[in-house]
Amino acid sequence: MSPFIAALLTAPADRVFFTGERDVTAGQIRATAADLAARIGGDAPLFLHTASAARFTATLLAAALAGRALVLPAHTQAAYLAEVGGTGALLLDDAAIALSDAADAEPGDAAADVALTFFTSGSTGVPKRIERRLAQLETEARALEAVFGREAGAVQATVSHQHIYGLIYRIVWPLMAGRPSADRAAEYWENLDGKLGAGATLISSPAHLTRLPPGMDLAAQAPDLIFSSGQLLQTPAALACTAAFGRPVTEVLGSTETGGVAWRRQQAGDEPWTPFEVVTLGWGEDGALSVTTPYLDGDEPFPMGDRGEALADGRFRLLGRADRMEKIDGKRVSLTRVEEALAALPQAVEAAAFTLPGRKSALAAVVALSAEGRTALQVEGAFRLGRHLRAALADRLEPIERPKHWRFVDRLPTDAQGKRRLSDLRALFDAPRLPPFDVVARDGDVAHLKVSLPPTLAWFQGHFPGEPILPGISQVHMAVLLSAQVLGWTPEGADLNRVKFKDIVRPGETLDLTLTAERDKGRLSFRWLRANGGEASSGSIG
Amino acid sequence: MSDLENDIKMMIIDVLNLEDVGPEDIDPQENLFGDSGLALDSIDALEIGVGVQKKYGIKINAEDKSTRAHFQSVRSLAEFVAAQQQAA
Repeated sequence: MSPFIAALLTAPADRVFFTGERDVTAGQIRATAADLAARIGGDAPLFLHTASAARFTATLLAAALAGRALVLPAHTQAAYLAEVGGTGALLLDDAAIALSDAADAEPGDAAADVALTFFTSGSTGVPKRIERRLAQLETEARALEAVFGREAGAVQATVSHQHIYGLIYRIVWPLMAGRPSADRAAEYWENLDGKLGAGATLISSPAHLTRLPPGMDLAAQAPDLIFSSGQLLQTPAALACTAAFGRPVTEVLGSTETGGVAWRRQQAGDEPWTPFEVVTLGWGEDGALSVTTPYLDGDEPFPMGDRGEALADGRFRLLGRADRMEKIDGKRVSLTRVEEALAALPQAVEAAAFTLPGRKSALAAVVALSAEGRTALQVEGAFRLGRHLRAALADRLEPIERPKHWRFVDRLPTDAQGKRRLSDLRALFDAPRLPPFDVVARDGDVAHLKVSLPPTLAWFQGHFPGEPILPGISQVHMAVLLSAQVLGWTPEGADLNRVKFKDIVRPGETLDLTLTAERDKGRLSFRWLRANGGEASSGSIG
Repeated sequence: MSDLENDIKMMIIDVLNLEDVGPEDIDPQENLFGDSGLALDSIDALEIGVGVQKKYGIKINAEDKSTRAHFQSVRSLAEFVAAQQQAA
């Protein structure tokens, strides 16, 4: 029998999960699983997605009892489920799984292993399917117990168990080791206030560890162990955690494919990684790291996508991502190199470089700005800042390697697992952007603006091909967006009153816009004038 | 600002797909190329060259040493275009 399943066959009154109100016992898990096993015998694929670790565990046991495989989607949004093959599946979520109140049930014979399908977001944003088996997760849990078992305690978490990291660290490992685990992950640090401290283990990720709560005294309730995985915790953030908790975070390097590969604790600076005993490292060309682990299906070493160097004592250092190459105008460009060059600029903290569909002849970059960069953005505007950064890269990068399309942000967008997705980065370039404008005069709730309409304005695209004119409704839309920026107010309603479109507006024109916010009536009046004094459109919305 | 200068600014914004910038944000005398001003590069120069030829029907001789001077700023480009149009 599987050691994880065996661990669930402990004394019925043993507490396996805690909820803050009532503890969930091993007997309850068995009773819930026995109920469920009767429901999941059909042919439809079983999709399991819960917020509750107890319900998840009961379903895992039920799958072993019924000899079924489980698919673990990252979330249950309909389009996503269809994309990952969930059409026609039986979706087991929190609402579909009633936690039994029975003290115990005889579960019957369980299969020795359960097939599990995970999805990672993949670098392109397309979900990548990864097949694992429960037995592989158990092997990893044993390796963790061997290294960290003495320090480990009751588990709290900020990560989902729908991903392999959360499943192993929150469910498989603690249950096998006989330690209780929180039924639900905390969404906010404040939800953990008073629940940490000595005897606790926190399963977290850079998503939370780079956003520590300023109002909470973390040192006074530091858990014995804090884990971070899913993406790298950069050294400054790791040191900030060490300072806040009074002890370092245990970072685990791994992937859904390989399981955990190595770990480290950054106490004073960038520390080398210690590989887990069961892992064999391989170093390819340019220091590309590949690993062989017992959690992999085949014998082929798995490329981690990182560069690094082995140290004499068996540990290793990571030196950044292995090169991601992209062809720009027929020339091979290392995106990694571009990102490193950008991040080294004083205006930038971090940057992502990539290509945009339909604009393949130049690179795009999203830059998380430093304080200096934010000041520059305010003073110079986005266009000039982009030009300056381009010029500043001249001594490190070829012209073709220097990005031409820019977006400036406070932080690079990441998904719930803290991973950067190309689709999110590209989306920053999709939204229509306001054209350049000047506030000529403002008197209370009345503002006069000059707005210039470059041909590149998104609202001219496709309206009409070869004969671009500004759509009337985008004049209304722009008035509302500009009111938000200039007057700090937008009407809630969207009823159009006495709106007239009188003249055609073409690319390159500069228009005068008068905005009048009638806040008491919830109405915004606008009037667009062309340079010749003729009215383009007027009316009100609200 | 002359209409021709404004036209050339619009053409540059259009062919280079520049965002967050309007014609009035570009000084007619600032450098188009190099590390200051608009900091355009050789590929941008190609695009602008094609743009000028298409829009104004002017042939540009890449071998001609004075071409570089014509492309120095929006103003010099406008003077060049105006001179070529008069000559034609």
